[in-house]
Amino acid sequence: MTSFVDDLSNFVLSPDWGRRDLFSSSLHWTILSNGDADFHDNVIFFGFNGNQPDPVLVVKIPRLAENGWMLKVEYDHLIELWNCIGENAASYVPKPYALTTIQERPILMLSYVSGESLTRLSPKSFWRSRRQVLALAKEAVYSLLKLNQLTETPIEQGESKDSRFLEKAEKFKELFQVSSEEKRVLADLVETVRIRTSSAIDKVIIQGDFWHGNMIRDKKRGSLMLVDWQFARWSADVSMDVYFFLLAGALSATENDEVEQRAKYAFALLKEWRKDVMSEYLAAYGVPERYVLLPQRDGMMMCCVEKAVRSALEFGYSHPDDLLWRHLFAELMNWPNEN
Amino acid sequence: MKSDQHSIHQSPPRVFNYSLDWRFLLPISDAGNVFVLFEDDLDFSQTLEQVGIPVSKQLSFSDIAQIEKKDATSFVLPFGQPVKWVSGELADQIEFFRSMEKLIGDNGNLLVGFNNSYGYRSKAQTKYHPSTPTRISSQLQKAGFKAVKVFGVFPNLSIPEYIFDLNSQPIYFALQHRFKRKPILINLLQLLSYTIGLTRISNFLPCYYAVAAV
Repeated sequence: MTSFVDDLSNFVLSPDWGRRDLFSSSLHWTILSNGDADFHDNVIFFGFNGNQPDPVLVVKIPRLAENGWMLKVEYDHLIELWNCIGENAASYVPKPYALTTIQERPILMLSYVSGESLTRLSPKSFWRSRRQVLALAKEAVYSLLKLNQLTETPIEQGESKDSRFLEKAEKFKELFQVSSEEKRVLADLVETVRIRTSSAIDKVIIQGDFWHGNMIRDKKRGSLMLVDWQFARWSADVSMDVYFFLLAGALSATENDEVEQRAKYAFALLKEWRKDVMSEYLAAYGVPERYVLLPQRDGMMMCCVEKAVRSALEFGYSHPDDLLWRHLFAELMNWPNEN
Repeated sequence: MKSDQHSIHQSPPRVFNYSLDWRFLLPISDAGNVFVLFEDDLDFSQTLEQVGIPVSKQLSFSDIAQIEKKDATSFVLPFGQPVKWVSGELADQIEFFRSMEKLIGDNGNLLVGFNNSYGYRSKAQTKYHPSTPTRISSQLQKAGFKAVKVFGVFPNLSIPEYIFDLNSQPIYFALQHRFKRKPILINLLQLLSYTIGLTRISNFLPCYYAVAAV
């Protein structure tokens, strides 16, 4: 049997594949063992054409074959985005080339986004500078708003608006020991989400993992490109994307301390941001008329619940960060309720 | 709030101390026919099971004498152990690889991970005798393997961040991204690449995988 990497090369160089034009001469690979030894992460192959300095192809492969569903979700939503936006999508997201199977392993092929991940460009110190955070936050939220506007579509009659938040809240109670006060807040949140989404008229594609680690500063355009769409979905509620960016940023400023301490620090930082960063960020997004953006406290708590249970619901295991999100949820109980 | 209110229910650990991404350099759908040789390590053993390499396919070096010829399979020596196990002598190492070659069926592969003799990672050097791409390729060919391909590995064999073809573009890409926050090192590497050529830098990488076909 030939090796996986040789079969991958054979596929890419085969005339049957629609993007044979990407490789005019020899093909070389760099494998990025993304996510250290986390078996639920994808491994990423970068394909190089001859002597060109940048890769021309990105291939995502799940370490475990059963996680192929993530690639399908990403591929389907990138196709939908390109269908909605047309060629302008190249300014926001990678182009999906193919979803196929090699050696019984699902693989996703995408265009390469030339640039640097914001994870590298924004170390801890970055998130402690309100001026820098505000500038990036506004840029990010404008990109998000634009994408949301470009994909905004009427919800058809009879189409479900259910965001599965009840299921996530139930899982949250199952996974963590939750106080009676927290249970009450969760119940209120479930009801708020249900009422708000039921009144939505439109839906948009949300990225589902909208944080700086999934943003690349495009080398040519200088704009923000959004990668990793495996948690994307159609939704009548954009709160997950809008608030996740801020929460992830605040957590990035924390030291590698105990999760409880990290949550406390992130909460304190969010409170500092409330006056300027958060208000300007939310003002830049605006108030959607035909779909939902929850108020600050509800939106951030909803984010924490979804992040705390995502590994359990999607992969059936617990992630070390789950507890961090659970602690941040507890901290956010003290956030002023603007309702 | 009491800390016990935050305790997550017990669940199995999910992140291991080893990455097995060398699998992509082999026929990955054939995991059940991959034999892995390594020193006793429970964590590594459990990691292998996660990807479908059962305990019956996990061998210690003392098991080698009992192994019969296998058909159409791959052997993996992930951390350069054979070199330590056999001795530092070149002839002994060739003989060891020759004995491995006889165990592998038609179309099978041998994958060997090894640290660089020019290694600057002193911690990795202490356990096993290092080698070089040229030396190990020569040993494997003398042992009877038909084709040998060597891949560069950053930063170590346990959890590689990058595995790449020994070609200038992939090497440069990996170096650029690996040392993004170390501009002095990047500048030095660039200077070195002007002097000796980027491809020759491949001789100074910290570690490698060699894949040899029967």
